[in-house]
Amino acid sequence: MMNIIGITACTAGIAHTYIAKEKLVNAAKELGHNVKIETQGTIGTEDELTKEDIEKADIVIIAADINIGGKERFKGKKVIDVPMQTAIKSPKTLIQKIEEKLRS
Amino acid sequence: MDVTDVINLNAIDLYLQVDDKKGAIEVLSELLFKDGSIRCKEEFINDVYLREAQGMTGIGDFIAIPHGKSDSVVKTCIAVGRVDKGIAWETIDDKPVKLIILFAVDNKSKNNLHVKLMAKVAGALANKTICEALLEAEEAKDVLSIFKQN
Amino acid sequence: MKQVDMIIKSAEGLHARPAMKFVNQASKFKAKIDVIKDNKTYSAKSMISVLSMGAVQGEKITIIIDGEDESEAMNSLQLLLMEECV
Repeated sequence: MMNIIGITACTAGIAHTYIAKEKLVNAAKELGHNVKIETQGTIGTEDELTKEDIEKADIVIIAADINIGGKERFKGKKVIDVPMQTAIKSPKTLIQKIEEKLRS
Repeated sequence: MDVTDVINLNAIDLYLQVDDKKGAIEVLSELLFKDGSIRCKEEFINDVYLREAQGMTGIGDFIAIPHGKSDSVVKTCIAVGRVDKGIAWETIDDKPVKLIILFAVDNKSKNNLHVKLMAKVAGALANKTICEALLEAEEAKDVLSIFKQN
Repeated sequence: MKQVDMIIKSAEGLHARPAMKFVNQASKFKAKIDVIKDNKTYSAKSMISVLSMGAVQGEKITIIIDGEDESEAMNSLQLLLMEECV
């Protein structure tokens, strides 16, 4: 079981950002992991990752089509950067690939 | 306030008679214009296409989420259209699109509440069963029942 | 109060069509109606709640009904689910 954290952010910040978040959260939960995803959209930042969240995290997923704010927070952590589309299209495969990588 | 407050009952057409993406966006924008939710149809449609150029709005499983952040939007709201035969669209799974959820966002408004409600609608679309339900809904008010939280 | 456990048998699980029928039917009754799956409680009269539950083949759901028309509600909803996916 992993502690997964991440950030989703799309260009307009209206819809894709939140769909990607839900897809990642559902996939992670289905695969039995803990998950918290921060969103950066038009309404600002929601579910902001805390210092504790980051400390406990095994992996940081950044699914964004724009530059996200606060990347420095993840210094020293394993970060995987993917296009937003990947999180929406195949969130389960993404997390399974991460599982494999972390195991080896 | 409930999520359904941001879904425009006057801009739901589950039986669109259109053949393509252009037609769908045009018809839904017309509904928003007639309802007074957008000021200028051409400007709004332009802004929708600006977003289309930035990346795919076809999120798979027959759903598309085009959106226009526009100075022409008077009332931030969502229009819903359905084309049962499916139309061509840039989608992440190469399937056609049958359900179009068009988000109209007021560029200038500080009214975050409406955009927050929109984010909730978007989040719901990540759920396959909810998308299936929308594809099967018979009337406009069924669409509201599907999203209603309280 | 009435309670019953049901196992989803249909290969498609509790998908959109039966789920919507279930919610529409549940909403006709006065009693409080909840569905429990994996220790989470879903409100049977809320479409979005039941649709997001995601019950698949083989999963157990528990229906709990409490109120003046609970017997009628239980019979009606059990029958509906048995016809659709149980």
